[in-house]
Amino acid sequence: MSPEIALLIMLYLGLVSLAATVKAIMDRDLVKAIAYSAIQSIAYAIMYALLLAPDILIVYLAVGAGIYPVLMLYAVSKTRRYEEDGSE
Amino acid sequence: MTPTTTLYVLNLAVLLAVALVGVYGVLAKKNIIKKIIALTILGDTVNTIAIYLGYRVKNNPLPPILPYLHPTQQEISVFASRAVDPIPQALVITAIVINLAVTAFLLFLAVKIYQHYGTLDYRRILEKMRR
Amino acid sequence: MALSKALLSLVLMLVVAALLSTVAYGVIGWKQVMGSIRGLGEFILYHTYNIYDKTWWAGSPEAVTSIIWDYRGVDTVFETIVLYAAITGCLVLWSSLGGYWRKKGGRLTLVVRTATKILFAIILITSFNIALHGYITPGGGFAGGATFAVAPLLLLAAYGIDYLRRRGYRINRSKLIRSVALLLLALIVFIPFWMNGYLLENQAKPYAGFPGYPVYLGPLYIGGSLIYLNVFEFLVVAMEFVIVFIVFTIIWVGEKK
Repeated sequence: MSPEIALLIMLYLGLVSLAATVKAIMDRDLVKAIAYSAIQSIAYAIMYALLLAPDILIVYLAVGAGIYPVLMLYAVSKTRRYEEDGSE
Repeated sequence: MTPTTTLYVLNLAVLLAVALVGVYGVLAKKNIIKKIIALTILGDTVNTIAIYLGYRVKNNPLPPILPYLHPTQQEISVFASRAVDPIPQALVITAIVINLAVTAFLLFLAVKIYQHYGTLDYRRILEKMRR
Repeated sequence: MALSKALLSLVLMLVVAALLSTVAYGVIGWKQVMGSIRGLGEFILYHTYNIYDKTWWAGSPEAVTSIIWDYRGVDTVFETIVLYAAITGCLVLWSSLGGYWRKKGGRLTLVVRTATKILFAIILITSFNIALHGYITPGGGFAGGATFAVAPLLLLAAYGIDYLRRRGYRINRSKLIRSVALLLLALIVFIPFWMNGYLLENQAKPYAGFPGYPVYLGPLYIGGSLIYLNVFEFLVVAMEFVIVFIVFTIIWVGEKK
């Protein structure tokens, strides 16, 4: 796998994670935002595989797509699901 | 600028763009949990940039793990000349652990704030604090 | 109008990012050095398992783990302490709350419960494998602990906290294992120091009295001090995630649900 192909796929994954990040930050529903951040984590995990970083891939899959969403969902379940807009 | 270099720079640009969106999310968003989500995305992006800088743009680079338990001298020197840089990867593992510790603690604080003030919108928290 | 504004800001940001990266690329200056990496990286790759020149070797073919626990070992020890402190902080915050555990209920459907029965063992084995083989294959103490974290999560989600309490699980057990494991980790750090070597010394180094942890146990290959440090860090991190998930299931008095 020549590095040019790896860089090309990484560019696509970078754009996917950019889109997921923008959606995660713009969305008012926090649960959807957490879902988008999980998608972004998976895009990064594949990027780590392309960058030949197997150690980080294993750690990041467990943490980025496993523990962060769960902790945040716990936090959202104990507070409010929707972002309050200023008017309330 | 050879095509590989432009591709390399373009990748760096996209990663920096995600970092910028993360910074925007941390600064501009009002909900505390949304800020924490943006913070984790920002942290992960900076880690990815660190690893990306350690990548070796040469034909078929190797992961930084020696695949033999009894390597010959020649195999070791070939491995050292073709493997990816292991140092950013070791630093990033430490960074992921500390990001996780900070995020877990922040989430606990966010829930405590919600219990005390009844809201997570930090403008309203400021109002309540001033009263 | 909102869409064009969003698109405009996105394009603007990409332009700024492109500018930043070309500047960074120029300043850091790999214009011509695309095919090589930092000198220190090559040094460590060359010496991490160089059985012919053992002055700076770390006794492990896995360069990343040898950096984590040998070349930059003190950094990882403090990183584990930071995680230990963060979870302790969470505990202090939560225990001052006077919450209670939901007595009955909190059990999910039969499908989830049977799936959990199967997955629980598989996740345990995978996390042990990642943690114990940290010095040969990718992975290590923290990766194993993080993978282990999913198992109690499944158990809590499918069976509820009450199931664990009836089995006699108390949260203090996790706290005990966590603290003892960290103490043992500190022991491995101090043994070379007491035998007038360096702190956290893995293999024999010049000017150090400590002969170095055994790398080969007969035909078996055990990677010096890396395996003990990985195992103890695995215990610390695994127990900490169990604590975090259990403490999060506590329902505080006055919660609106």
